[in-house]
Amino acid sequence: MIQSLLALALVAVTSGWLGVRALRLLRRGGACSGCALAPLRPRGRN
Amino acid sequence: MTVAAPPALRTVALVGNPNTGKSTLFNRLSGLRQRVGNYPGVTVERRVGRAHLADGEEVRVIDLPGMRSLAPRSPDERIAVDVLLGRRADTPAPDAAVVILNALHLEIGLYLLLEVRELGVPVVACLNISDEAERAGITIDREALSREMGVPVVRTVATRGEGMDELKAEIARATLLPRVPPVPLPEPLHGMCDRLRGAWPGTPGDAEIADALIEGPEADGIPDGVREALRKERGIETGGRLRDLVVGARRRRIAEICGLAIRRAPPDPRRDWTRRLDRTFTHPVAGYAIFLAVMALVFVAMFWLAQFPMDWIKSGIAALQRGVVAGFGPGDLSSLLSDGVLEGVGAVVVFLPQIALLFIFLGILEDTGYLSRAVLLLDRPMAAAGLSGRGFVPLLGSMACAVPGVMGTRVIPDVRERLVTIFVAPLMTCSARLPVYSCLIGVVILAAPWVQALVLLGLYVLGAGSAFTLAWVLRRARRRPARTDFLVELPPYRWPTWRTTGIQLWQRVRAFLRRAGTVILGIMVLLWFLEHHPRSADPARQLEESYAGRAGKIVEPALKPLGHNWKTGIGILTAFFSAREVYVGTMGTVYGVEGAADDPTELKARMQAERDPATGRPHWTLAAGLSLMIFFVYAMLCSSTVVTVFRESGSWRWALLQLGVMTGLAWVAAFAVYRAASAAGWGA
Repeated sequence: MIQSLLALALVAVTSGWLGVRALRLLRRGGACSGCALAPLRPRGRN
Repeated sequence: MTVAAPPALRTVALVGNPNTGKSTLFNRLSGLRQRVGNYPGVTVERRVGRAHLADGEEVRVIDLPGMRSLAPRSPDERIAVDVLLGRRADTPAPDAAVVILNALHLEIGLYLLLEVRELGVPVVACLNISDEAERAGITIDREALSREMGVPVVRTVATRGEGMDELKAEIARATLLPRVPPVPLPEPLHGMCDRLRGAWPGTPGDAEIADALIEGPEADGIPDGVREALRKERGIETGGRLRDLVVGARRRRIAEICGLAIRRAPPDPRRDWTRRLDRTFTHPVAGYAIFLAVMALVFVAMFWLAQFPMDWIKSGIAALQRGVVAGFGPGDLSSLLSDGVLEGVGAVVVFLPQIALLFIFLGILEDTGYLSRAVLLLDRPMAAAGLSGRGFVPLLGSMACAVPGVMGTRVIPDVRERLVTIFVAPLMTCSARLPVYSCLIGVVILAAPWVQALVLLGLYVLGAGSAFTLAWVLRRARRRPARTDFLVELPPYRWPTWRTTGIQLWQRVRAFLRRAGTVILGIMVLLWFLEHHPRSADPARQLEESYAGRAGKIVEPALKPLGHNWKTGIGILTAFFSAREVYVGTMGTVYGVEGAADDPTELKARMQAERDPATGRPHWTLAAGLSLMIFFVYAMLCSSTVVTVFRESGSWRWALLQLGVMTGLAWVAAFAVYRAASAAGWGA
């Protein structure tokens, strides 16, 4: 019973957090993992 | 009692042309005491670090984007100029600037040095790559250079840390000097700039206004509101005369200084390795063959070497899962942590060694100078596709992630060409596809690592080839674009520096782990809920009757012709709403639900063991695996990219059209491959 409640609480908090992130993505644009993973830093080559 | 406030941290900006070893010098100065981010509102990388000078004082070091002059032509050059002039609220005005010069091409760098010095900020000139210049027979008289330029000149070899103590001592001295008033432009330019400043939005520097006066009101990048004022102010003056007043005068001065400070020995043909290697590496036929061979070797080494650390990570995760189940006992929380979080996040994290190895190899190739040759080679097929050189960098950047790639298209002045580049950028193989390809290749390509590596290379080539082909189709309807100048500097070949590669690798690994530990973890928690609710009376049908299973069943009819069922449907849906690599995590939890909580079988074996309930045949056949890989080559399974395309193109129409075209293309291509592979007997 306690395990079920804790699991549900964790799911609720995580959903809220993901929702906030999604809203922020829509408002400000976002980036995926690759941004910081860029194999080439293409600055200033043009 | 009063306590004296600590002295404010002084700031030093590193300025230089691209390829002067600026970032290596920055890493030398700041070591791991650095933060990499973006300047707010733009995609220009912001690197700030801290360095300890000889006297123990700590200074803030800003590594500015490479630029050719103070007249900005691109967003990153504009940021660099703004920081240097102290016009950005988010970055403190520098107390001193270190201008990094490539000793091999001193004439080019001196132009920027002259401009920065005229700003009035204390300057230290840094003659970097001096060892290669000396080997090439170039002798630079530092005293003469220092005397003529009026700034201290330090000899450095940043890759080996030579000259760093002297550089730090000169930085310490320079940061104590006061700024002096900027050197005014010659008349009549000075007066013209003063009068135009009021009409200009923001606070432009003299160099920027002077550049506009020289280039004329029709040039790119001039704010529309000032074109008329510019035309009026310019009057009868011609760009040529104004250019001569500033640019010509600086060039003459540089020629004079170079005559005094540079001595060149006649070149020794025996040592001219770079030229000889270039003849082979950029050869129109052999060059491409070598490029493909190098990339194939990289992928083979990646697959082969990564096996060992991947096994360690797998056993580590399995041990953690056993620990969780033993510690919490059976129940929802232990199921959430073991089958949801550890299974899902673990399925993605297990590919970290492959990603890390790929970046190590690419870092080495970049450091040795080979990658610049590869860039030159790829410019040819791009030109054939009707894309100009300016589109190259965004497409190359998309091989890491389409989001910065799409944002990077801002450097393309032609609107239509920019939209086409945005359209095809997500087809380049991004790093989020790598875990998906690796997972599927592991499941269906039951062959030696070199065969698996070749399949992976094929997927990369297919992605790039499709992007170029689609660009060609889209551009064919219109006139060919005017070719914009595309300048690739070909640095001499050199040994890679482990320090630079190591620091870059650490930053990338950290970013990957951070993402796995935040967004992917969050999605896995949510997915666990959707896979375990509502509760089914029959545990064997839990997944199928869950919310996730029902969602998967909705898209199943579209996936059936491609050889896939509702389980892949769940993966594609989660990947669509987040990002591609989440597919692998989803498969981890989907196949985890059906196994026992402490089942030690790895994901690959569980996927291979799946049988079609109707026929009893294996589900993951070669045909099914290939069709899904092809689907991932074309499908736009990344919500971040969709939002970014909307923001960059300014309309949902373009973003949704792209989504529709890519999804359609993905379905048709996957269907064709599945049918062809099944006909070839690979469907059993």
